Amino acid sequence: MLERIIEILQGIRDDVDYYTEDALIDDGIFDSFDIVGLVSELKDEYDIDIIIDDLTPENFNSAENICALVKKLQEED
Amino acid sequence: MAFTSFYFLVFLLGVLILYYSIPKRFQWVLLLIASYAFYLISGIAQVFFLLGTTVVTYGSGLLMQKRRNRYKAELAASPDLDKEQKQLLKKKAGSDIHRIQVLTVILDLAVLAVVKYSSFAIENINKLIHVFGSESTIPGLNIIVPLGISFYTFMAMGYIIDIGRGKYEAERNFGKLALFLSFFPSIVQGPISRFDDVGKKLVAEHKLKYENITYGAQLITWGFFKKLVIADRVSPVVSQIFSVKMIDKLSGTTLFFGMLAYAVQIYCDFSGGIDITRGVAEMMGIELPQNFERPYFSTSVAEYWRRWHITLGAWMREYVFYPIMLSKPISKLSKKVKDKHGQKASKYVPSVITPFIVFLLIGIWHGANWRYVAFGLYNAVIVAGSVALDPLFKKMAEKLHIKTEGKGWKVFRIIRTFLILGISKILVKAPSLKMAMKVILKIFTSVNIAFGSEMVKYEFDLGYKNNIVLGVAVLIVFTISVFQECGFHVRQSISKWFIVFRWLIYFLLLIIILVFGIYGPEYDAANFIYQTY
Repeated sequence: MLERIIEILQGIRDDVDYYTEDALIDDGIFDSFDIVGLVSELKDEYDIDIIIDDLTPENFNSAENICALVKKLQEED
Repeated sequence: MAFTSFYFLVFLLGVLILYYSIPKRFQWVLLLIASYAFYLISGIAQVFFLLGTTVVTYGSGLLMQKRRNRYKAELAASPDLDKEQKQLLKKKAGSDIHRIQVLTVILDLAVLAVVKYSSFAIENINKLIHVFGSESTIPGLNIIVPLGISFYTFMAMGYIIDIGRGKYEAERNFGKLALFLSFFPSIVQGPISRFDDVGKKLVAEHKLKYENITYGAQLITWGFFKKLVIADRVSPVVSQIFSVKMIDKLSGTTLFFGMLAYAVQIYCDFSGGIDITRGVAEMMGIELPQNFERPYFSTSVAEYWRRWHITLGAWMREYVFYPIMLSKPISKLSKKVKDKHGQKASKYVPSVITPFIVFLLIGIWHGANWRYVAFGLYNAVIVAGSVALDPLFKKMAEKLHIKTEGKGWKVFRIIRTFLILGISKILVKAPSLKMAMKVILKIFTSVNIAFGSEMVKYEFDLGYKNNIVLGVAVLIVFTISVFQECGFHVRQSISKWFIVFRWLIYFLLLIIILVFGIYGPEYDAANFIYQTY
C-alpha cells in the first residue's frame, strides 16, 4: 500500500522524497489544494470516507502516516 | 485606550508589576480583570456584546461536552452492542452535538451581522426601494461596532466547532474561556487565536524571565517603529491621493505611487500592531501565534494569503475551505465531472469554486461595503485562475525555456504578485468602488513621469526631511525582512552581541521612535487600521 500511496503523492508533487520526508504539512510542502487533491485520490483509490476530523497535520505529514490513516479508515468501514 | 498612547504604557507597566508580584495561580485572574478593565474603557454597552458571546459560547460548549460524555458512558455501559448499534449511537450523539454547534454559530454570526452589516444591508434595501419608485426608507440602527468583534466572534466560533469535532474538551471554568476571548493585547486586532493553543498558555503559571521581558520589549519597540515612524508618516499622503477630489486631478503615475505607499502603510500599520500585541504577551511569558511572515516576498497570491494575516487564513482554511471541499455536494460534483471529463478536470472544479466562497467571506470579514466584496472576488479570480491555468503556465514556461528554478524568475514572480495585490489594495482604499475602478484605469492609461511635481503642486509632499526619514525607515524594514527571509534570526543574533553594542541598538531605535514618530494632539498616535475591522 505504501508504494501505491507514494505513487499518488508523486502525482501531486514529484520533487519530494516521500520515503524520508516527515513534515509535509508542518513545513508547508503541501498546500491546502494539494491536500484536497490527495484526499479525493485516496477516497477513489481505497473507497474510504475521509472526513474533516481526519485532516490533522499528524495524519498527513508523511507517506507512512497517510498509509496508517488509510488502513485505520478501512478497518473502521 | 490605544496601544500607542502613553496611558497604555502606564497600564501595561502596572499589569506587569502585579502579574509577577502576585501568587502565580492568580496570574490568569489578573489578566482577566485587566482585559475587562481595558475593554470597559471602550464603553460599557460594548462589554455586553463580548460578555453575551462568552456566555453563549461557554454554555454551548458545556452542552456539547455533556452530550459527548453521555454517548461515551452509553458505549461503556453496553459492551455487547454490535457494530451497527454502536454506529447508531454515534450518529445520534453526532447529530445532537451538530445541532447545538450550528445554532451557536448562527447566533454568533447573527450578532456580528446585526452590529456590523445591518447598516450596509439597510442602505442597499433603501436604494432598491427607491429604484421601484417608493419614497419611504427604513431607518438605520446606528449601533457602534464593538471593539474587536470580528476577532473574538471568530475565535468563539472556532472553539465551538472544535468542541463539536471532539478536538478537545469544553472549558469548565467560565473565567478561563472569558480570558481567552477578551485577552487585552489581542482584542484590538487579533491574532485570531485557537483555544487549544493560546487558551492553555493564558492560564499557565509564568515565571519572570529576563529573555521574555527583553524579547517582548524589543518586539514592542519594533512595532512602534513600523507604526509611528513609517505607517503614520505615510498615512496623510495616502489619504490625500485617494481622496475624492484628488483622484480626478492626479495622473496614473501618482496614483500608482499612492498604491505603493498604501501597501507600505497597511503592512507597517497591521504588522506593527501585531508586533506590539505579541511583544506585550511575550513579556507575560505568553506566546501568541504569528500573523505575518514577510507577505510581500510571496511568489503567488495563494502564498501571500498564507503569509498575510496568517491566523485569519488558517481559520478560513480549517473552518470553511476544508469543510466545503470535503462536503457531499462538492464530492458529488467532482464525481459528475470525472465521469464526463476525466480525472484531471474533476480535480480542478472544486479548486476553482471554493476560493470564491472563501475570499468572498474574507472580503466581507473586513467590512460591510461593496469594495470589500470586489476585493474578495478579485483575489478569488486570481487564486482560482492560477489553479485552473497552472498546467498552461507550466507548458508556456517550458516552451519559452524559462528557468523556473532560477533566482531571476523568483524575483519576477515576487514583483508580479506584489503588483497584482497592489490593485486589490486600491479596491480597499479608494472612497468607492467606482472611484477604485477609475484609479485602476488611470494607472494603465495616464502616465506622468514628473509625478513628484504633482505632489508639490497639490501640497501633500512630505518635504525633504520626512522623505529621507521615510526612505531610510522603509529600507531598514526591508533589509531586516531580507535577512529574515534568508533564515537569519535577527533578535537572537542581536541578543548575543556585546552588551554595550546591544543596548546602543535598542536606545537608538527608541530615540528614532521618539524623535521621528508621528504623534497627534496630546501625543496620541492615529488608530490602527485593522482596529476598525
